[in-house]
Amino acid sequence: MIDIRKLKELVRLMVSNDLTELDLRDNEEQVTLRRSSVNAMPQVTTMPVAAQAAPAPAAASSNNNNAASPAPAETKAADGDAAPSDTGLHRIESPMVGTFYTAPNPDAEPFVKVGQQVDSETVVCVIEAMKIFNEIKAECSGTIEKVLVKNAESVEFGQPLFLVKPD
Amino acid sequence: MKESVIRNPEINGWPDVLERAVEEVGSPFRHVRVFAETDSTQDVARRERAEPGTLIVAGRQTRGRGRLGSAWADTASDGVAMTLILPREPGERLAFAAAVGVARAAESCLGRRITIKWPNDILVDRRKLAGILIEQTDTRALLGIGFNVAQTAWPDDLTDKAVSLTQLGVPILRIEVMCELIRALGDSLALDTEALMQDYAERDGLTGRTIRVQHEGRTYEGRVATVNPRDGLLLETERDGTVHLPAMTSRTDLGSGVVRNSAPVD
Repeated sequence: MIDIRKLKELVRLMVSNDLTELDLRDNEEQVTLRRSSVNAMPQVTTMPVAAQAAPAPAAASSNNNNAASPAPAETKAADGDAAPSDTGLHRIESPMVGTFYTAPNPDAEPFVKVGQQVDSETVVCVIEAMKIFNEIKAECSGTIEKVLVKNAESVEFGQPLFLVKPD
Repeated sequence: MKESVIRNPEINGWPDVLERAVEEVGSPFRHVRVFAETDSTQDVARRERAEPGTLIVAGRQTRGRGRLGSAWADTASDGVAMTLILPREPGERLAFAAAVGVARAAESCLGRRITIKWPNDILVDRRKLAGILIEQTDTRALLGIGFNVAQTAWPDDLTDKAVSLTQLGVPILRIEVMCELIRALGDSLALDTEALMQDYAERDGLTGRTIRVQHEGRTYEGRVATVNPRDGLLLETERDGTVHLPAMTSRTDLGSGVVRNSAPVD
């Protein structure tokens, strides 16, 4: 059973950082804390790690990112953004879980900007996963309409990254 | 999943192993960036504008370049493609230090002495095992290395020109070759000119031979008087007397049957 003091500490952390969800796990135990709104008290679920039959929704992402990062509670948001204006536009989707970079390094120009013409071979971004950099190509030709993810954000498999207006 | 980003499991452990190797060797190495696949590590280095000391490694390089516009065959999962970013330096020393480093790494893998064909080819039995491409930007030198490791077959035009460690009877992982290269380059880049001359001379495949060299649109034929990091290549010709040929802009041709030298792909 998890130490109650630790749990209190975690709750305090969540409230002070305004987090809505926290998923922690180690070899023995897993703790999922969820708050429905800023004012509500967190809901607590703990389970031994062996019994992972009912994983928390955030499990997929926190598994691959370092478990310590509690931040991306709303990674699915980009999906919703993309939907309304999606008609007739091609989506460039992330082929992997990782960290999205718009430019080769913080001082460099981004690979592509809104309004820029791309073809199938154009490198549009880099996704870092497990310290390996993966250049992502447009794999279509057209004009970049929208960049859906901010630099250095984590992305999910299949998450739309760019909208492209086909030629 | 898109074909271009299917992960080759071989490279999963590379970042950690390479970071450790770089840390052990130290100067001039500082950082490592592993790319699953890219056109050319030289182009990544240009785009990245990464600081000197950064080593860029590709799991696969699809459109590598050789010197003076020649191409380097797709490394697929069989070859090493890497670029080390260094501060720009004048003169010929870097070309020689790089050649000696790559040669020494090849020798540790093979267990025997090999030949350097000035300025940029590492040959075993007249076939190319590795090649070096140095490109300069305003402030940096991009030292690119292609090394044939696990290839067992070549396109027709390369069969007589290229060779891999596997074909020479040395089964070895690409990551092991990269670690050898990091160690050997750490040593060779630190050598002073005197030591470098001696090291180079022991592996020099050209001095005393009659060769043809293409330089800035002209072809020179003559006997190689010397090749060293102070002078570059000095060629004694009948037509033009002694000609000085800088490493960066010359192409050697060994004559007698060898039409051009830039295997793997020309």
